[in-house]
Amino acid sequence: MNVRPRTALLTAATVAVAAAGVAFHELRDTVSLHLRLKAVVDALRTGRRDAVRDAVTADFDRRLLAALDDRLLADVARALEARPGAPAAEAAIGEPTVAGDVSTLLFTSPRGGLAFDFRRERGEWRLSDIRFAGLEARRDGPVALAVFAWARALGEGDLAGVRDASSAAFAREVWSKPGLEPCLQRPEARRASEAPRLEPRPVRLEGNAAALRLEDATRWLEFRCVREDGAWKVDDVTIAADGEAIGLRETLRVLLAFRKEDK
Amino acid sequence: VSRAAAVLAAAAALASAGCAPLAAQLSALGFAQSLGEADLEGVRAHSTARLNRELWDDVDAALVNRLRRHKGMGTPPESNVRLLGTTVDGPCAEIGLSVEVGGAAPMVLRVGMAYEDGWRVDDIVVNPQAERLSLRALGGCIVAAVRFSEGLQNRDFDALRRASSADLRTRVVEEVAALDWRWPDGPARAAPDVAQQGFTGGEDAACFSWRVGNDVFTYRLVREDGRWRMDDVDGPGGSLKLTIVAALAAWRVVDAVAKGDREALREAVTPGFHERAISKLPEEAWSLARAAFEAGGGGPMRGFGAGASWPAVRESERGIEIAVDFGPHRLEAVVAGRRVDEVRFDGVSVAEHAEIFALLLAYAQAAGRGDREALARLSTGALAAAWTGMHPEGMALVSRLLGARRPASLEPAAGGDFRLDGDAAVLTAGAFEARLERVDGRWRVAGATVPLPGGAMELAELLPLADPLLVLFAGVESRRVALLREVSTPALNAMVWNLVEDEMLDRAGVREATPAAPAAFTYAVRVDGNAAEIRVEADGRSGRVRLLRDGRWRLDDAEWEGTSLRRAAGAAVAGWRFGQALQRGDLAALRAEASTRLREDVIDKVSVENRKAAVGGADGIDLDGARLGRLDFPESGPATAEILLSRDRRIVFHFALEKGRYHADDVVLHAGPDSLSLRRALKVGVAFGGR
Repeated sequence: MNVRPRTALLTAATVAVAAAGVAFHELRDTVSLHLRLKAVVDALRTGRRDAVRDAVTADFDRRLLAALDDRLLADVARALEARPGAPAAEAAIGEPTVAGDVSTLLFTSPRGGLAFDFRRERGEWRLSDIRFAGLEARRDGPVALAVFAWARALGEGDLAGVRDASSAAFAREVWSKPGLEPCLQRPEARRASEAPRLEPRPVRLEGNAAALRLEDATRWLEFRCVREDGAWKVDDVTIAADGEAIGLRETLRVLLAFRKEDK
Repeated sequence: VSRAAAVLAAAAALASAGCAPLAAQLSALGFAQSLGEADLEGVRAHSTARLNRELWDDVDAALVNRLRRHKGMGTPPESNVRLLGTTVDGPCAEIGLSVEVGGAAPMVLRVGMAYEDGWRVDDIVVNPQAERLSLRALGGCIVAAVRFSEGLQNRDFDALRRASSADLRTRVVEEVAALDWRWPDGPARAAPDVAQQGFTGGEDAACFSWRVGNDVFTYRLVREDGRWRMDDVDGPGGSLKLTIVAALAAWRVVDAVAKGDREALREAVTPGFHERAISKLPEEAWSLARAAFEAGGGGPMRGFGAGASWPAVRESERGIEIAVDFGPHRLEAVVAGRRVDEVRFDGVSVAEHAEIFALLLAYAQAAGRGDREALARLSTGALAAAWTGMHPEGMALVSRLLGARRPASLEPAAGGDFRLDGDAAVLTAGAFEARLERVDGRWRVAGATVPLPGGAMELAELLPLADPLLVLFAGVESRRVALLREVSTPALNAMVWNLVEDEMLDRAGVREATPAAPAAFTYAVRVDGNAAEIRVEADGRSGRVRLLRDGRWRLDDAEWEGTSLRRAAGAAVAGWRFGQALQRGDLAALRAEASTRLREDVIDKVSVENRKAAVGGADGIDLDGARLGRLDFPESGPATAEILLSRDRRIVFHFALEKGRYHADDVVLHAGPDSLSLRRALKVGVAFGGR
């Protein structure tokens, strides 16, 4: 019975990419439109970690860039390269508020507002955080990036990548089992770009556990992550609609148990 | 030289001297003296050839002493004997004597003498003016009776032949001797008590009677070839000769039946009786009769059975009529010559019994073959209609159930009772009662009352109720759903039978929900208008079958050990159908098996492409090795059926009751402690655009 893994994976992938879309497309648009951010954007555009590191505070670097692997960094650069230029007509960048060494620049677009926080450090204004709909890049970014890495690997049918991005238990119970490749390699699994747009909620952190929820009026997805050896890993995904929810890990466990045995 | 010879010589001398009277008197005196001394040689010497032949030849010392005790045969020494006179008429002479013993009235004796090379005693008549008791006849009769009695006691057939008349010898003694038959116990074995006898005798026939208790026995003798012989004994039941003749005739019938020898039976009965009764017995009666004889102790009976009364016998213009009572029953027979002409049991001719027996046998056989047409033909009224209405498959089961039983169990004699009154008869065995009636000269079964735990019931009412049940058993056993559809209500059909194919019956749990082995059950039937309930019980387990009448009785549900066939099988069937639709990738079937909610909320919302992919990809469920697990089906509302795939994998189907049958509302996959609701997963998937 392959349909249900496929459907579930499809859903999970969709959700993951949606999260990424929120985090990065909005970031890209905003960053590219603000003059003071140009340096950051330019640095990001180079895809060079040292250039980006130079544009952000040390804290931002430690918390976020460390979690951004080279592929992810290159993805961001490619995304920015694809849409260079001026801010969209309907977007507007407000006046920055400056208070001592701290400055905030508000950016509004039809999809909501972004706040860029800057801190003067080492003689320059350097990006210290990005806030969006209750998300804070510095705080929530590591979890979101872990989720994105997991979802991207899933979307690409990269089983090793999914295993790497999953908690040890999730990887052991599900992603190490034989029989998953066929469903991961189906073309539907790649149609992650058609993901529904869900609004992210602030990450809930509790010690070494975190939950990233994306939702709209009738549906929500919750990525539950755990910190293992200092890195966030996806431990389970809850997928819900119309008041009904399924747990991806349990679902996949059941489906694996019911998969046709290789004779 | 014996005294008798001396006396005779003296008498001869007197006679030749012309003193005939004196010579006769002397010879008579010699006779009396020899008899008084039990000197048989002397007695014979003084007797004529006729008297010797008729009496003394067969007398020995023991018997002569018995004879001497008889009145007139011996004169005690103290008697006062007076010569009344002597007349001589040629070779004959008569001596009149008066004998007085004690103070009793004198007895007159007339001694008849004949001149046979001397005067010899030919007879002595006692009281010639009154009873005219001939000692020759009396003595001859006593000798014959004693010899006959001794022959009986010693089973000495030669002695019996000698002591019997030609008629008794040929009709009884020779027959009995040939058969080595045991003589009946009875008066024939009682030795005649000569001392108590009352004797009447003529020239060629005589009889004497004596009393034993209240019974009077009369020995009848006849004189043949100059000798007295036993011809019969009349006891309280009548003539012993006729009794034995009749008993022998009856025995020959019994023996022929026991041996299965039809030719012998034909010989043992009159042609008329053969035509009236024997020829009407069905072929099977032979084997049944033989089995009955074998069961009753083996082999033909010898002589009269125990527990029966002494037969009463009489002669009529039809022949010998004999009647024997045993227990409350009476067996009567008429014997013409030596053949049985009629047998009546409790007043009913065996010809009638033969017809009724043939009917019952034919009935049992028709039931045994499941031949409803024959059963209807052999029945009348509502019972005939009930048989006609039986389903052939139900009849086939009846046949199989009865096949193991002997039709003999329907025999009236099997602990039952039988009453016949004109054209109606009632047969009872315990609480079972069969009513027969004669229609146009033929016996038919008009009805039967069958005892059931819940109360007795008419067979004509029971059959239409039992029919659907029998067909249910047959259909489940032979896995033919078409049969089940035929006898079920639309509701049961809609919920179960219409959804199931023959090969799915076993997997649908129908057997588990159906009481099997119907023979072992007791049934209690309760009818309430157009609804009926049959309770079945066996080995402490119970169930009930509900039937509804709609023109005819139909099966609505069956419950076994609390499990409703309709709901259990309904749930199981719905589960298999949905599972198979999934396995086949049959989208249309999947939609049809789904509840409205599952169909509208989930199935129809998935894109056609994905639906096809979904059902097409459901190849992980291998139902071939699966079996039915727990079923849960409340009186109303949703039900669940569990299909077990392996030790820790199962599929639980949740059903909604829609349009009178179960539809899958959800399918939950269970693997160990984990579960996955497909409806929920698909619904969530649809919500997230996984169309």
